[in-house]
Amino acid sequence: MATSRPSIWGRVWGIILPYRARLVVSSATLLILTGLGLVSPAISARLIGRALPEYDRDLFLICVAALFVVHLLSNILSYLYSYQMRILGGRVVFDLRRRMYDHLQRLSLGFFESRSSGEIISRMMNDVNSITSLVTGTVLNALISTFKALAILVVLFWTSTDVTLVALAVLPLHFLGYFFFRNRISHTAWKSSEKMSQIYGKVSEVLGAMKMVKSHSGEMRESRTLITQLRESYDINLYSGNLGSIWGHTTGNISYVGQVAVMLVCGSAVIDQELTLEEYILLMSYVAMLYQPVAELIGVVQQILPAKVGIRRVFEIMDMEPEVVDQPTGSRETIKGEVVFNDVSFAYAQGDQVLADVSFHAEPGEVVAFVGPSGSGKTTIANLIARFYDRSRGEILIDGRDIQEYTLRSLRDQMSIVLQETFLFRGTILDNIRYGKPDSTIEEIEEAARLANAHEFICTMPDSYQSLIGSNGTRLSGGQRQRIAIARALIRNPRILILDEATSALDTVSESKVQDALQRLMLDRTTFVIAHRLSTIKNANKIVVLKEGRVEQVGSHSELIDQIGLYRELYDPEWAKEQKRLRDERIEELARDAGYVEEPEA
Amino acid sequence: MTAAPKQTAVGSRGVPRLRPTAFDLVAHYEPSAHFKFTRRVRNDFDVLADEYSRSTWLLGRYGGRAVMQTDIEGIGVACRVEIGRLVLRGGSQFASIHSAMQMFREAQDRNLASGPISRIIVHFHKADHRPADREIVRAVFNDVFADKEGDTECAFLAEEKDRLELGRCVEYQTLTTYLREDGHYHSSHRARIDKVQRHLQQEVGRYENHRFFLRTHAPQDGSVPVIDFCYTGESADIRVEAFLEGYTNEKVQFVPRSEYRSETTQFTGLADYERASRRFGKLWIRQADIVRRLLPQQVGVLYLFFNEQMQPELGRNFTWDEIFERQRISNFISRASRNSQTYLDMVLEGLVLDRFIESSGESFRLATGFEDFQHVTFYQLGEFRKRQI
Repeated sequence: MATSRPSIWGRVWGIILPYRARLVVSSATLLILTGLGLVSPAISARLIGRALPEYDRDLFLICVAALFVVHLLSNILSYLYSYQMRILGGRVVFDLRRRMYDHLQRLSLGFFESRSSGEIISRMMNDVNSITSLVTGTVLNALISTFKALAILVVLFWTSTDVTLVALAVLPLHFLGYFFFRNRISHTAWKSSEKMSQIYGKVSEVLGAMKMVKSHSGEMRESRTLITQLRESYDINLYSGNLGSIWGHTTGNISYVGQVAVMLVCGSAVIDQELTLEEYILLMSYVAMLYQPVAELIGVVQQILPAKVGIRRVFEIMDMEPEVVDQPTGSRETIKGEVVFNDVSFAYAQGDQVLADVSFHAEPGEVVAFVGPSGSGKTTIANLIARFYDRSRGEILIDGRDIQEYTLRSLRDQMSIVLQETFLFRGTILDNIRYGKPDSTIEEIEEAARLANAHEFICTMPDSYQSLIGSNGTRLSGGQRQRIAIARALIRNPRILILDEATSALDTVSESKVQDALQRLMLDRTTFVIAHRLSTIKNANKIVVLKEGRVEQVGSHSELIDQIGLYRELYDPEWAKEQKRLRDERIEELARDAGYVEEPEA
Repeated sequence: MTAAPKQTAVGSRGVPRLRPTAFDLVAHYEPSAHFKFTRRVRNDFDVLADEYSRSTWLLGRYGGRAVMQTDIEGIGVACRVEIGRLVLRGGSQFASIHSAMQMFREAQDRNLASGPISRIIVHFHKADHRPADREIVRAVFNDVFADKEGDTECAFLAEEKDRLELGRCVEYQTLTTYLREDGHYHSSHRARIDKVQRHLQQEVGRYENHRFFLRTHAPQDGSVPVIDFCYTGESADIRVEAFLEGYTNEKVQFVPRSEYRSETTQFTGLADYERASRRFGKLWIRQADIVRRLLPQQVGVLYLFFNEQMQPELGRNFTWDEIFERQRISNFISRASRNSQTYLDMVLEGLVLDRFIESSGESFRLATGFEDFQHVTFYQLGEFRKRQI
């Protein structure tokens, strides 16, 4: 099946299309402006060629008045034109950014994990802007310049075919210039955009990690890194500017060669009395005006090439589809919270396998803990339960139905996640708790805060629930932030709760308060706990021990602690050390049995 | 700077035409927390710079006298030495560039730099289009930096068309073999290798007198290749074998040093195998002497030029529509981008630019010589010295 491939300009036109009425008005204004531009030389020629040599005062005054009126009209229309363009450009950018932001919200988590936020911001702000410049000036200018050039050509042909042909003789040189510079400018524009994305990415990363940078005395290092990137960006932009400038000057010189040629031909004709002075002035003015749109067109091309790069970068994002999607007949049923993993395997795109044949069963209301060394796949399981990713193989059932049969909205509305790194939005405490359930009442919010052990400290703050907490809750302690996050999770009254290292960053006092809150939060909900501190998961109904993406052991704490295995190794380091010693001894013995002779110590 | 007539540019009387070429050579040295640009270093470096100075009548980085700069890298200070060469006559190119690289080396040997050379970069006009000039640079590099047995030939990493980074490559397999995954390297062994590597790192003392590597057996009829873990040392050590098996369940075979040295092609280092069998991240691909990066999304699009039997369709011209149809159903393209035409356009453009694909108008085909492209790891000079085998 052949696919119709819409051109990039077709898609840009699709964006502008809703504003076609405004575009028509702007084009009409510009056409009138062009027409007025063509009238001026004729009036000037009449003034210099006839009114002044013939001492005709009336004609002189009429010409001056006409020039004034034309100038005034041109200025008024110019203002109207630029006003229309500002509105058009602003609306197109508004629409595009809104659409892009909506689209970004729909994309799957994998997209955001594979790109830096700075790069995405750069595309949304910088690259979208390139469309504005294209819409507001470039497209119409290109149309009008072409129209103007054609109009002047008609007038010139009508006035003198020979002169027109002489004037056109240099046009092929302009095409040569275009072919020479086109790819170079495009490539430089692409490099410039990429570099700008990297700079945005770097700045956004460093600003987000300023505490870490300062704690590692990395300020100077970061400055150096950015300076290097800025220097590269400067080099690219300088080169790009030079290319544009050289092209512009080359165009000017080519045009001037044409003008000189016409001047020679027309001047000779005047001397031979084959042409009047008025005709000479008129022809020279029109020839000059013929080259002006050519120069403008080349200027437009210089804008289009980088704009095209920006537009493609925007469309690349807009064309992406979410990897995790709802089925057309997705269920919105309320869930009880039974979760079953049957031989589930998962690998990130083009990466190594992270989970292999993982199976476990969580009854509604049970607490299931995942333990294991770093990289064993604990958080990946949590991501699969929340359907941030879809499994590669196997089956994940919720209340006996495949997880993919539920709509994402319905599934996540019945689920809450509390992470080690809590994220709080800039705003009040009230807003942050309410984020979990936008239609919640003040009473519900206070109740959630009470259950999360947060009400007490919130009430001691000057503005209580209306207190501003700064960006990411910087005015709160780690434990306080975590309790607000728990309140936010509680207010949703989720059926499934995921606690991903929710207390591992807290001190003992904060942890005990958060643990109290978590115990209340876990009541009557299926809870999945990921914890490195194994003392916190002793009471779990089931503990799933993971190693290298596989399930090593499953059981309760009392069952697992009696078994020789990874759980006991993790839970009791002394026992693990002793086991290792015994193992070493056994291997030594085996080696001796196989003929190994220990060398005497020197 | 050296102005060298291009090797291929010969005038009507057989005399090489004058095509002056300005080379800018930069050596970066490893950072050191103790290095200071003291008066002594400055004076001694001036003496060295004078010794190797060649007038280029140019300024800045193309000036013929070496300049030392310092950069902060981490907690240390790293030096960078820049020198220009201008070659005006054919034949003088080798000597001219040789003296510049020799100077880099002497700065290191006389302890004037922050540490050993970590990387060398050369800039000259359209460097990635001029194999004859690269050949000279390559010969010089091989001559000046041939430090030890096992050093591979100089390779050029092309980041920009005018800028090449000099280093060495470890070659694994052809790009086609990598894409088909039917050679000696297979990702299914990665977990085993990872386990052994981790154990070796945890128990460094126990295995310090031994070197571990793999013997690979070519796969039969598309099956997964077989690997054997081996080690070499003074003599076979049952204890080593027992511990490794006890902790990783892998049996290791002893290979005498003489056999290891004489039949090196049979054996692969653990780190090399791990790198060669990765199915993620970017790849280094060598096209003749130029090494280019191949990004994961580009790898995915290259598969679109393969048929159902995973054979590259060399010489076949594909229309854009054909490639797009393949993209829509390809498992090698991320699901998010499968229906994106812009994605295909952008990736194809990058592949054409890096000469993995040739295009004429709206038709595309695998580049000439695609079957010879090699999957390698490019190491900067300093990295190669330190690489783990």
